Amino acid sequence: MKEKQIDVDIKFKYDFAGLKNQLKKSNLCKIVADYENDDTYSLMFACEDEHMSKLNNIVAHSLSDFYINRYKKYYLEHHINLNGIERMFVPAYICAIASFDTFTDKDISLDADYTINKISVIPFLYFKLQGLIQRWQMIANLTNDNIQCFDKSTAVIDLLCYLVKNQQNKSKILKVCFEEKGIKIYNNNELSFQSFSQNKSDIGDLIAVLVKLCPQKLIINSTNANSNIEMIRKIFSEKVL
Amino acid sequence: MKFIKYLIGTFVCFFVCMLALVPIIVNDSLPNSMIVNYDISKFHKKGLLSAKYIPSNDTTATATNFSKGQLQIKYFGINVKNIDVYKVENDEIYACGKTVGVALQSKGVVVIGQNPIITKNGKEIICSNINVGDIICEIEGEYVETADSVSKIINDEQYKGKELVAKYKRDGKVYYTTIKPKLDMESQTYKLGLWVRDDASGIGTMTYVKSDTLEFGALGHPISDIDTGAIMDVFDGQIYKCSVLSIEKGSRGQAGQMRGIFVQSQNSLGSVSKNTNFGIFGKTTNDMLQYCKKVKIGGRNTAKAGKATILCSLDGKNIEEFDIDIIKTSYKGKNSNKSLVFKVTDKDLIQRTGGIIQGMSGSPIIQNGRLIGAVTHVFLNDATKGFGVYLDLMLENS
Repeated sequence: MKEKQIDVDIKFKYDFAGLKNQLKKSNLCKIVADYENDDTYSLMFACEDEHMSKLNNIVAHSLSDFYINRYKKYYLEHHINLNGIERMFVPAYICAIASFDTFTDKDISLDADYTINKISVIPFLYFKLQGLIQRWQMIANLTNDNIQCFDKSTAVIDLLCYLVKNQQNKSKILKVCFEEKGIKIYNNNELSFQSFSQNKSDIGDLIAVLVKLCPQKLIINSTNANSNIEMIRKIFSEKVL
Repeated sequence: MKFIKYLIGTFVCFFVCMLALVPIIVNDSLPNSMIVNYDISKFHKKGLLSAKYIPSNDTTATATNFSKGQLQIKYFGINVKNIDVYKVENDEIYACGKTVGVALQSKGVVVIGQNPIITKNGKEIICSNINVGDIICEIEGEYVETADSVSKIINDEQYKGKELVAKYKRDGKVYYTTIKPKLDMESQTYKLGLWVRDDASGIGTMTYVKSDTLEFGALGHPISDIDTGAIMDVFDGQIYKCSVLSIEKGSRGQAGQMRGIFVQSQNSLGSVSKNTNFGIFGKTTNDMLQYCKKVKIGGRNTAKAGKATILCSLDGKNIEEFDIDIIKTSYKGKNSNKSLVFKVTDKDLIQRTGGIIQGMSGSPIIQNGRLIGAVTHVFLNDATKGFGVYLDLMLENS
């Protein structure tokens, strides 16, 4: 019988609910403990020796997903000089830059040795996955070195457009309807799943959501043209006329 | 006696056949065009197989630093082949190898799909006569510069709801058709129901820069729409400094790629004016010369099977030279950007990239101190093998 413990900062506790469920469902191990202590959330599980390599594999994928889909964004937010970027574009830019080239991130991340019995998630990243940190720092430096360009919205829009083009499409069709009461996003089945107001910060959030969902086809419906629509059209350069 | 006659007959037949085959052999073995860097103006070789240089009055050739002419090959006084000869005025060129970001705005819009519109009759497909890959260039005689200009034209008061004449390109040929935009009930605007794209961006490698004019050539192949393959006419284009963030190694069945980012604002390295089958062309800045090295011009007439090198930048900053073996050179295929086959032999490059990867297109190929061409494609079943285009084809089309 072997035991394994995963410790993570309490603010990321809910990101590990998925791992806990996955371990439970796998029927390969038993959750021994699942507790909070000061600022740390710990998850302990035990299994027979022969199942350990399978469990290590589950942990490796789960931690990699956490690093790439959650912590990369957090890292970039804390290392990019966000004051230099036009406020409205900050969420979309962080989202787009964090989604760029996640394949390589995953390759580097899965290369690490996850067989150790006690993994402290964040220190593990900084000590065992320095390649990832170096890459993220390179992205942050690239933004900071060019920050003088980002005070112009056109430069941010051009870069967002490039990043979106190089992102793998996640959803097929999204429809954005600019209505009198606000803006609604509809999915492929014509179901509205998110609404925004027309104010500037909400437009920024709308762009961030669209960047995150990265639709293959974006249909924009509006009764009258305005600069926000033009901007979204420019970022998602495929247009339906 | 009979045997001697038979022998003589056979010999005569063989001799006549050989004589008849000469024009075929000449036609097949000589290139259709060549670049020379020496004075060919008085070239005249007499004999059964004669060759004479005839200068051309083509003024467009001199504009691109060439003087153009034809070498007429005659056999028994009968013309068997004309070889286009380009004499380069300046024998040196800068070979580059720098990775650049390219952003193009197309002239016209590329149709990438149909999209039904909700009209008063329900969902309708409108422009069924326009296919995916077509490029809409004009509507009612008005130039379509960007996708937004299509919207403006079809929603113009004078055209609203009317049948309009559209000019479009399909496989390089121009066609006309009529289109009738319909009122979209959701947006209350007139729409064509077409899903279009009007720009493209990516990273590639700079092949050469001409020192006197700062004209450049890059990529060695066209920038085409990612979904439809349509070659975009350039409305506006820029090249930028690019940072390479990662390299995905090529493997059997899948080409690897360089992943990089470029910021389009203050990092422009020049403008793109042409997008052709043999690469993109335009004008760069003096800054670019620091990444280049001066070499002699080569091409089809100097390339031969054997050792050569390619220049490329795997980190976006430093330009490195890697060994290759040219496996096959072909004089023919004037319109092909796959006329040269090579294999990467450099262990360091294979270890770092697996061979040729996307983003290395345009990497200069240097043989015996001459720039002979550029990398264009990779073999999908073997990432260490690739195709190249000759430099003279790039220069001719620049």
